Amino acid sequence: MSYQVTEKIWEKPLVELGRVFLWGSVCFWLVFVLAPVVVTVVSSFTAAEFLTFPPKGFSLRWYFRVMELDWFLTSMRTSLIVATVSTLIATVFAVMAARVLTRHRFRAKGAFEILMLSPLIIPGVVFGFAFFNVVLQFRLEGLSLLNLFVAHSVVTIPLMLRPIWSSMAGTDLSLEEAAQCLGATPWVTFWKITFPMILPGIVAGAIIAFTFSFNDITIAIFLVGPETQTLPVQLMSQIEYTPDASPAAITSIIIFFTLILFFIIDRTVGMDVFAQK
Amino acid sequence: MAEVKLTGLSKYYGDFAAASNVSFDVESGSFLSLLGPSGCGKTTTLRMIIGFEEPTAGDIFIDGARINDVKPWLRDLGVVFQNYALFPYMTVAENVAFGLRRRGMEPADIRRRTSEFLELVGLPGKEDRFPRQLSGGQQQRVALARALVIEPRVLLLDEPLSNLDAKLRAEMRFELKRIQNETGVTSVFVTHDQEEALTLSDRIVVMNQGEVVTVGKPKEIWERPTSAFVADFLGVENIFAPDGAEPGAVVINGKRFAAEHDGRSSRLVGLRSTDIEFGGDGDTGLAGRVRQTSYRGAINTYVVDVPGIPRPLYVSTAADLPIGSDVAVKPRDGAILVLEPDMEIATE
Amino acid sequence: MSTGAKRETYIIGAPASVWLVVLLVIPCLYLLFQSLTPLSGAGLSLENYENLVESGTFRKALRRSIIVSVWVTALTVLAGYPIALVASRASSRARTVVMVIVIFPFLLSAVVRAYGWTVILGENGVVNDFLVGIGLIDEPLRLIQNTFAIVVGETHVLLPYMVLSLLTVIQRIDRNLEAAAMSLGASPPVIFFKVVVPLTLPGLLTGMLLVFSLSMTAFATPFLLGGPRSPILTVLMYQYAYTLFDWSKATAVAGVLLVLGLGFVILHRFVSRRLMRDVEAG
Repeated sequence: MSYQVTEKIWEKPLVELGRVFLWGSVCFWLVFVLAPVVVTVVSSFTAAEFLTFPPKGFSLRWYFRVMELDWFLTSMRTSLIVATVSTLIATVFAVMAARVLTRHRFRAKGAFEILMLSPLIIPGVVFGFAFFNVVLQFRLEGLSLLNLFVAHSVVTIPLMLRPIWSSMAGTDLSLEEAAQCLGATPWVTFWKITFPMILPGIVAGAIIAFTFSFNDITIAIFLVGPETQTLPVQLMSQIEYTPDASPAAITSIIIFFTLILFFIIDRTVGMDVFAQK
Repeated sequence: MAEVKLTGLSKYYGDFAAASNVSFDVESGSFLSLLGPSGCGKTTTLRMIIGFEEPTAGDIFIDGARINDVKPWLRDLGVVFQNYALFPYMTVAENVAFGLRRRGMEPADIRRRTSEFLELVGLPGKEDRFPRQLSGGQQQRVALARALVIEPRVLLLDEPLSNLDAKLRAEMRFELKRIQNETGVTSVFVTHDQEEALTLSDRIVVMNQGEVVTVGKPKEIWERPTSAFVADFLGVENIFAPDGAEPGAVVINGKRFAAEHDGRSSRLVGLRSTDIEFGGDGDTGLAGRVRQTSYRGAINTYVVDVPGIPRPLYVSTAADLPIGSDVAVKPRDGAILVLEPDMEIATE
Repeated sequence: MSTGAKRETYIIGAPASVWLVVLLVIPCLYLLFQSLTPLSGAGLSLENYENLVESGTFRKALRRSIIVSVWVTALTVLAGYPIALVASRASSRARTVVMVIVIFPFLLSAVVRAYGWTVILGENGVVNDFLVGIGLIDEPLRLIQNTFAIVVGETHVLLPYMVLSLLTVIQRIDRNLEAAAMSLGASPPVIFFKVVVPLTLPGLLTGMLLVFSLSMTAFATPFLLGGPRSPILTVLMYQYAYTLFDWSKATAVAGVLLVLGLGFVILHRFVSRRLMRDVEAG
């Protein structure tokens, strides 16, 4: 006589129950993830004087209102400048670091890699404080714009490095060698061959770095000056005193632009860039 | 056209010799193959000629000028890579024109030259395609055109045929030979495939473990391999130590066979399976028994145990015998190869 | 050029190295140094740390940090596991939808999220309106500016990390294992608990470590949602540094955070290497 696999009577209902539970909890958590975004965007279209959800009526008045807010426009400008400059600085460093990591062999490579990734290891708020500490030490708090450029460029180097590194590692070395055999100097080789190949990585990295810098509070909170409030820091202090829907309109504008950047990433390099550790 | 000369070229990684004391000449306009198994140092040698690896010792001369310190992009060499290394976001024409642009040629001339060379490699009219739209063989031709269009002093090819399937490989071999003949460019070809080396080359350099084992014309190397390694690499099936030797002969199982032997006892003998025949009597042949046969159409291969020889002999012949037959085997006259013992011989 | 000349390595590698050493490593070391030099006397001592440990505020903040991080870790596992499972097994379109929803908040500013949660959880927020509306409660609940709000906000921020780290291990599971188990007579529940779950443990563990450490060192969300009266460690450091100008306490908290951050990274590396090796060997 041989042993047989018998189907237990509770198995089928259990599987069904499991499936219902699985999909149920996924739906719940997806609603949880979307809730703050959706609620903000929806309530920004309210026609009422105070923010409510669901909104009373529909109007774009708060969007027109914020366009006249001085603090919004100036801090937006500051944030855009800071994010652009720091991203540019970080791009140069990240491309050079990626090149060293993919194309060079040397003994201190492990240490170099850890150094490049160290901004991810050190808690952002500690770095912000440490940087602020040095700024105070040298009495440089007047140069707050410069401080923001520099501090953000430091933290965004590893964020940019990852996608650039992986696209450079995926670029066949023999392409560069072929170009050199055909008479291209290393400089020409980089611009004609390597750069076009790693451009998607640079774009993705730049978007991630730009968003990070644009969104940052943790570091900026230590470094902003009265004339150089970044948008998130300014928004943070305004929200408390603003019961109307103008902060909702501003956050919706930010969400809208973030969505655009997100889809650019999805189209260019795919969402896998977020998965790399 | 140019001639290449390597003298004592070596590349060490720590204690490991990737290439050691490699010396050979490539005559102007000739085709030389670097033949050997993977890791034998042939690619390292090629990369030193190109300039991607810095020699630890030794010199490289092109037309008598030492080029060790010349940067790769100034060496004026055409290189075809194993994976073709076509620039994926450039069209065929842009790929071919890349080297010409670097040389500052006029756009009109570039266009003319580009189509001229695409015609030479058998791809007329494919200028606007992208590499991914081409088959492997066509990509190979583009890579060749790109390397040749700059009229390089030397053409260097790194296993260019190994990514192609068998049929295409044979076709490209003839193409490569035709194109080399038409352009007359001095060529150095790296391969692990003896057939490619034999059919294409004017001369072959066989390498093993970083060293040059032998240099010669294909016919010489095929017919008179000098060492056990070369013979084994060229597919000589039977290599073993004879019982004894004297000048002009070797002794196997107590029987004397004529061979070009100098009498030094350490030497091995080699016999191609096709150079052994069944027949002969107790005096002239070696008695043995068929262990195994494999049918291969016109010719059958037999594995024959011969008492006294440590390995069974492989014999290829048209004869048709069952397993277990008692046979006498005999090498053809003058077929015994006398070999330097430069490798371990496996015994059963 | 494949080997890259030594000189070239220096030229290309040096700028980024100098940039990070001068602007990141040295300032952090200087902070550590300051935390070890008390106001009272010269020389290095642990005095600042001793004072810190004795202070009730610090101990409360530390406890709050740990409680928040435990909750956040638990909730991200509870949420992340089903999401990762569905994302790895669903049709490619459902998968894309799930991934877009999960990953998009990655790019959102903490202020934006915090504002959203305020609209939902605030005194006149969606939740309170609803509960009062159906008559379940008379007075609005206090759902914001407290530890609860920090847990909600941090779970929202850190969920993608958990999902991604689970997704990598789930996708690596050889589907043939499940087919093999099935051919041997295992039913779906048995397969799930005996085959799938054990194989995802490494991702689960590394994900939990990652989430826990990020939660311990997070600043923006706890700062915005927790309010000044319920600071976690990072917020406490900010208060010492920026509002109270108590440098000796602030640098000491920074030292604690720095050690915590480094410790978690080392632990994470160790654990993930160990686990991955076991998985690959087994």
